[in-house]
Amino acid sequence: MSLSDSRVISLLNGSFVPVYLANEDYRDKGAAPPEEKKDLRRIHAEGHAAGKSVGTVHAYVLDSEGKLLDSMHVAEAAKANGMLGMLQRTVEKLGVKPGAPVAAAKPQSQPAAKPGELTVHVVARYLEKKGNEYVLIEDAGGNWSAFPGESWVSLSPAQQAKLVPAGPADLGAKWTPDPEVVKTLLGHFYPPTENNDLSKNRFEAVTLQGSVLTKGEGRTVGVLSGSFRMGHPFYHKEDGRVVEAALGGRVIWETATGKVSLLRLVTQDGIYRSPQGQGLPFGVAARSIP
Amino acid sequence: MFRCSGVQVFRRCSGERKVTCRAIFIAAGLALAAGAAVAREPENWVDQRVHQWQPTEKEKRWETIGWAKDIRDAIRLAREHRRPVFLFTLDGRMGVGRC
Repeated sequence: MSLSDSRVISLLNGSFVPVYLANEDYRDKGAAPPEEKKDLRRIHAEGHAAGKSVGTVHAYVLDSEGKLLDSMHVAEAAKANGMLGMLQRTVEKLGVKPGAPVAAAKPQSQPAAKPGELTVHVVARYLEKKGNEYVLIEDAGGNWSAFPGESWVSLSPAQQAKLVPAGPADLGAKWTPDPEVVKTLLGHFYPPTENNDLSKNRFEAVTLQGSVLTKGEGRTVGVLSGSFRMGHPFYHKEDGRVVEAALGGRVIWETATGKVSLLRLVTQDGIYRSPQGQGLPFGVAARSIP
Repeated sequence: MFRCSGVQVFRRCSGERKVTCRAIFIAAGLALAAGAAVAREPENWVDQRVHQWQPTEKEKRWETIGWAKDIRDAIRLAREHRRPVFLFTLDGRMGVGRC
C-alpha cells in the first residue's frame, strides 16, 4: 500500500504533482472532457513508442510539460520500495527541489448534497472473526478488499416521509417503511467487489419494520429491525452470489412533517455467500450526515 | 485471510482482473445465519457499529496527498511549479473504494 507509506506521501507532496483518474471516465463514452482523453491516449502512445510499461492500472511519471518519463504496473508500484525507487529516480534526474504541496489535500469521498435531501453515508467492509467478535481486518497484506467501500445516498423529502409512519403514531406502534425507499439504501449494502452496477443487484427478500420508541417536543424516535437478501455478482457477470444480513437501526423524524433528522441502519451477521453456501462476513453501517 | 487481487495493490483499487477472486470464496468457510431479525435494543449497538466501521485514519492516509483535479490541472501545476507529475490510473472509484 505504497500510497499509505509516509515516505511516498512525503515525496509526492513535496516534489510532484499527484493526480489519479478512473479509467471509466476516459473511455469513449466516459465523462472526462475530450482534451483529457486525448492527453491520456498521448501518454499511452509515448509509453508504447519508448518501450515502457503501459496499461490501464499503472503509475506514470511525467515531466513538467506532461511528457512521459517513467511508468510502472500497479502490482509493482503498490510496493513502497518499488514506488520510492521510481519517484527518487525522477527527483534526482530532474533536480527537483522539495517544497510545499501544490494542491491542497482534502477528503476524496464527499457527498453531493442538495437542500432538503437527507444525505446518508454508507460504509461497507469485510470483517474477520476474532474470538466471538467480527472485527475490522487488521492486515490483509495490502489487499484492496480489506479497505471499506463507501457510498453516498440522497433521500428526497418525499422518500424520507415514506420511511416513517404517515402522521402521529402511538408509543410502541409498528409500521413498515416503504420497501422501495428501503431498497434505495440497501442497494449499497454489499462489501467491496469489482461490480458496482446497482442495476445488477437482485433483491430476493427485504423485511424492515419500525417501532415507535419515544415521542416528544415535536419529534418521534423509532427503532428499525429486519433482514434482507440480495443477489450481487462479484464481477459484472451473474455468479449466483448473494449478500444477506439482519438489520437494525434508528430513525428520528419531525412528527408533523415526516422530515427525517437522523437515520442509522447497520447489518448484523452479514455474509457474502457463494452459490456453494460458503461466504465472507461483512458489515455495513449507514448514517445520515450530519 | 482472503486475497482478492493476488497482488499487493495501491490502496484498494487494482483493476487486476486477470487474477480471479475465487480464493475469497473458498478460503472463508464461515457460514453465518443471517435470517433472523435483530431484536435487541438498538441505541447502543447500532451507534457502536456505525462508529467502529467508519474508515480509519490509517485507511484514509492516502488522502493526505494533495491530488490535482485531472491531467490538465496536474500539467498546469507542474509547469507553474516546475515539478514532475505522478499519474495513477485505475479501474473504479478510488475516492470511495468502489472499484
